[in-house]
Amino acid sequence: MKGETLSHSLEIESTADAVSSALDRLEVLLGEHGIDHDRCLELRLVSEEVLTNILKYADVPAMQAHIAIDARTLELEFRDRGAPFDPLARVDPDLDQDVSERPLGGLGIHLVKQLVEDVSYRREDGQNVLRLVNKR
Amino acid sequence: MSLSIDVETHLPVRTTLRLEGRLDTDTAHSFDEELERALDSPIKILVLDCAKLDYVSSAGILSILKAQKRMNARGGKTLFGYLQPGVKKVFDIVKAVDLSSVFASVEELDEYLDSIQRDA
Repeated sequence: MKGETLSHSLEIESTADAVSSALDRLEVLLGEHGIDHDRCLELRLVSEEVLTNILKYADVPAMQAHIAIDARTLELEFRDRGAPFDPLARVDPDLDQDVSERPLGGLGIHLVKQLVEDVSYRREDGQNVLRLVNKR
Repeated sequence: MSLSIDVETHLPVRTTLRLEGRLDTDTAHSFDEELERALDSPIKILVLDCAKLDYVSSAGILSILKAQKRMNARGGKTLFGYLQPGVKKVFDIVKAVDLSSVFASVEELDEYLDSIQRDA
């Protein structure tokens, strides 16, 4: 097992294949740095949600993911140079409507908010930055 | 990451889709295709056997919600055989399924199916 601290950045082309490869890479990196399998899958999930959102909605050639693990925290940060967009500002989906009635959007970010302890958005240097922090 | 789908039919009433692997952005379309094939028959019961489903993302949830909408629209039911804990956690967060349609094991599900056929 490699040392349990990590700081790694991924540059991800705006294609489904590149996102898929980046998620695979991320899952491997997390596993190599002491994160248990179930948590690796959860972290893959929230990353998939964020990256596919950027892919779908931002008109950008690439996006960046940064992973940092230390003794106390695990942090994922996603950046893109698209138009200012705060995914957290959208209204949460209405989950109590009957399955037949429910509109189908907004689930991805809802999952991220529920699975990650601390989610925050900021606009910095012409980039949208979404930061996900969990205690280790 | 990949998904394989094993299809078992008990026509005209029921089709079981056995999912193995991951239901995510990459694989949701193949589930959607299998669902369309299953819905070509007038089935009233769609069973999604998720015992070997390791991972589901919102793309997969959307496919599952659509499957339920389609079955509801024809007066049918969607039943789920065994959800792994990680998958169940995601389903619970987005309230993707009616919990009365989730069975803890294939055996429980089979018992339920036998009982409704007895009453039919």
